[in-house]
Amino acid sequence: MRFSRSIGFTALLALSVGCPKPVETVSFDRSVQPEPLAKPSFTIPSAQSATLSNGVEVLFVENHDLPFVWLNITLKTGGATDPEGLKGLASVTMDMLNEGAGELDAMAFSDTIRRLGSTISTSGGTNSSAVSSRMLTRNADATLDLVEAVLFSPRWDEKEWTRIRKARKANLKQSAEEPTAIARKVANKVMYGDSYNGRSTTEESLDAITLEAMQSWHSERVVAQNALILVAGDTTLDAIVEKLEARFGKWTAGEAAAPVEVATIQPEQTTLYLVDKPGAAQSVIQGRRFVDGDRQSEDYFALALGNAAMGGMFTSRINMNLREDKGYTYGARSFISNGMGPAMWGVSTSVKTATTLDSLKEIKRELEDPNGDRPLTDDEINYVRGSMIQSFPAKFESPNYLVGQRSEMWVYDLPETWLSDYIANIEAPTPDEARQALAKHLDPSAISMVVVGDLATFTPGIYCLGWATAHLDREGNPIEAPEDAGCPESAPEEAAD
Amino acid sequence: MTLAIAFLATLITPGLAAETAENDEMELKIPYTEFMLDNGLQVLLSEDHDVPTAFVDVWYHVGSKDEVQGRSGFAHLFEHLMFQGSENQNTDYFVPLQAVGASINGTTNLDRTNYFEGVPAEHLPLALWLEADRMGWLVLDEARLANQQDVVRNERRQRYENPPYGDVWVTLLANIYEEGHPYHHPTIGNHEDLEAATIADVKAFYSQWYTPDNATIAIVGDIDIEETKALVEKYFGEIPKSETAVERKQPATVELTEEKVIRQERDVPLHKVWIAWPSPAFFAEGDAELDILSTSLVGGKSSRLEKRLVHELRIAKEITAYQASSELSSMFMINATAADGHSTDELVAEIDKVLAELRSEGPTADEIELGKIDFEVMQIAGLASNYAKAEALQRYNHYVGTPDYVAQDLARYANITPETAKDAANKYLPADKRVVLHVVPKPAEKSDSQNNETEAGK
Repeated sequence: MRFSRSIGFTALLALSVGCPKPVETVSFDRSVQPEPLAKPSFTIPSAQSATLSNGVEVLFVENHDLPFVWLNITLKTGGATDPEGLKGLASVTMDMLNEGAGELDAMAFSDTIRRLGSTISTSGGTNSSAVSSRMLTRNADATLDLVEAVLFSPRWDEKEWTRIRKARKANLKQSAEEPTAIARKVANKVMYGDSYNGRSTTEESLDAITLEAMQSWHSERVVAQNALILVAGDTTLDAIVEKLEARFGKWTAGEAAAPVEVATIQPEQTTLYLVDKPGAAQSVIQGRRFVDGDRQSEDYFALALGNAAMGGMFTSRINMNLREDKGYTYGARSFISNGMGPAMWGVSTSVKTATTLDSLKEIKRELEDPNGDRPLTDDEINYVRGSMIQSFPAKFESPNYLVGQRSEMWVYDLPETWLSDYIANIEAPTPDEARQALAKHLDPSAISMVVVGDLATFTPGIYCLGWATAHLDREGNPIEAPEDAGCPESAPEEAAD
Repeated sequence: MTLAIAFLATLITPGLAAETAENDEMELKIPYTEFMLDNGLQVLLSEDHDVPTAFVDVWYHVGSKDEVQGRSGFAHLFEHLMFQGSENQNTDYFVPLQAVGASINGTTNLDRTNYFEGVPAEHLPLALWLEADRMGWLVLDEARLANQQDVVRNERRQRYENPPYGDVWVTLLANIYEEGHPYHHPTIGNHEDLEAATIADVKAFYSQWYTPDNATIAIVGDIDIEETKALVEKYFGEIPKSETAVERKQPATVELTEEKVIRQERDVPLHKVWIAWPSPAFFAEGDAELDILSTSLVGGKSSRLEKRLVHELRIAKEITAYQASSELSSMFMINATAADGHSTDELVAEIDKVLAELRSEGPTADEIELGKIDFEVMQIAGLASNYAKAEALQRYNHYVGTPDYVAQDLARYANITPETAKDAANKYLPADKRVVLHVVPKPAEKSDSQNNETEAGK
């Protein structure tokens, strides 16, 4: 029984059996927030596992809600190790796997998969790549045959590569006009220079990539040693393992990809990196700083709590100030993102052009206050803690969440207890530890702050904020400052607001 | 999850699945309980005990189509105010809900406004208390209005003005629907109207539309039906119904009299073109046919437009087509991006050839079969979460008057034949009555003013 902590409520319950009757009078005090019902129990679902004869691990999450099976073959290798001059290689190679395979050219392949009611997609990310499929349970065999062909016998048709290369170049052109895409790209360049995430695919690198380069990447990287097979849905472990063994059991072991090297550029002082976008309706602001350590570091959860209270949620300080108090933006958040190497902290918003300077000042204040005039309170820390803990079970509604987490755990070598200890890890840090972690890792005087907007509209004020400035093009390369750059002696900061 | 999938409708896919022989008697269903409070609030409940969460989804049957002249964007602006506090929870609604780990949001479109929160199951009373409080006792004041006017105007800038091509939808609506039609203006509205909204407007809108008899609440998840009935009764039962009945606008056929060609030069990187037709309303005759026709055109690499423009001629980088279904009328749209070195005029010429073939020959039986598979799988995969099921119940309820419509919805597609699809292509996608919008990069020398030419009756 999950009823009732309030007596009035129990009485009403009796009325409601069958067809509900109208309530004659209000029998409760609306000003009092209701008590929760009894809390249902929840156990984190777990994955079953098996190993194919060649050593490839299979993880399986059984779920018979819908007549689908979802497959994800994760490869622990991606664009982070693309050779100099061939940036984009992993990503376009994965694209080309889905452009016809075995007997079927791209068009016939697309038809065949549609007819089965299935989908197959391939993707190459920074640290991992994947072949994924959703199949109707009854068409699992036929679909898995196609996945096998995608992995082992792609066609490498020159004409498809010519088309994809042209489309990729157009995508580059397109993102060069999108203010948020520009800001993210420039921020990566500022933080990683020419390593890891700092390098971008270019027209030149696309021109330099050949089918031969893709084929070598495919034969070196798309190997069993780099693979984890994850399955969720409407089948059983025995049934799926048998199907997988028949198709992937003889997959060549190969060699596991070398670990990724990550070089980082930690800012020593706050610098505004200005990218001009004349006519922009808003200014996109992206601040960045590396925070020591990754998901396995000692301070990770304490820092996560501190950041969440400062800016990680709708109700956190940064959004409540910039959106709900000042009305400068539709939304503002801070976040911590994890890849290889140290985690990166960021703050992100788009603000009305005329409020660019005020927004930057408010962001500065929100970063300084937790270590200064307005420390995060115990209530603020415990609020986000409660939110993070209580939102956890809902994530498991789709079996694909667990699949995604297991894939992530494998790619980033997270401990087996990553999920089972998650709640305990969020519960552990004291408010003091959260405050200290934020103070220790997030020096508010040393942030790289990218601003993409209509520079003329906030010149000269932008030069009078007391921060260093640098001018970059849309690729993140340094360019000369405009002639009117600099804070005029006679134009105090206030005049520019 | 509790989704009674006793079968996949016959069309997945004869020939592929021998085990579908006995399909005819089976039915796809979202099990639910329905009742109505005395004040007219309609309630839909569905149990699903997979995870200990409950999804609360309130639809108010009002959208931007119901706005008055000079107040475009108001329904959406009002939606924002619904999060700003009520008499018994006089702070931002995110505060108490995010405290318990809820996912929260609201959305407004042309036809309706929804508010939803996925809460841990034990916090269902909190969610209902809050939804009832803002339905009955919303706090409205100048400061909250002024703040959310700024926020919504920033939303407009962020989503429609700063991204390249962001305002295409606005232009299409304005040209498909003439001045005065409820869909002539977009849900986001324009800056002048948003700025002009007064607290008196807000109060009038609230009392006209935000009444229990103009709302439906769906609750899906780890709930006990009887217990939930009692909670709904407790929190919503005393909210008075409206004093005057609201008039629901009715679907009407929209016909263009000519082809309207609009050429815009903008700060955009690529040459793109949109071709749009007014089309049958959501669930009206012809709506499902146009869904299926969109798959004949762009459903895969061998579909007609993709094959011809992207793969054979290679004049397009990409091409999409879909039926954007709405309550009073819909819009069928084709959008193509030119490959480097090709013009949008070339694209339109080639699209026209493909459409002419489709009109004269009609789609093949195989194309129709593939389209049916696409839609059936999409519909079933689209019922995977409590959120999706709540929205499906609400959508059917709002648009066809019964939440119990999944099977009939699938049947709409099952009944399509090459002939009915061919008829729809001829009837709804004529070459000479449509809007063609070219959006191309501004030539280097013109840097300031935006160029916008309209040629009629080309």
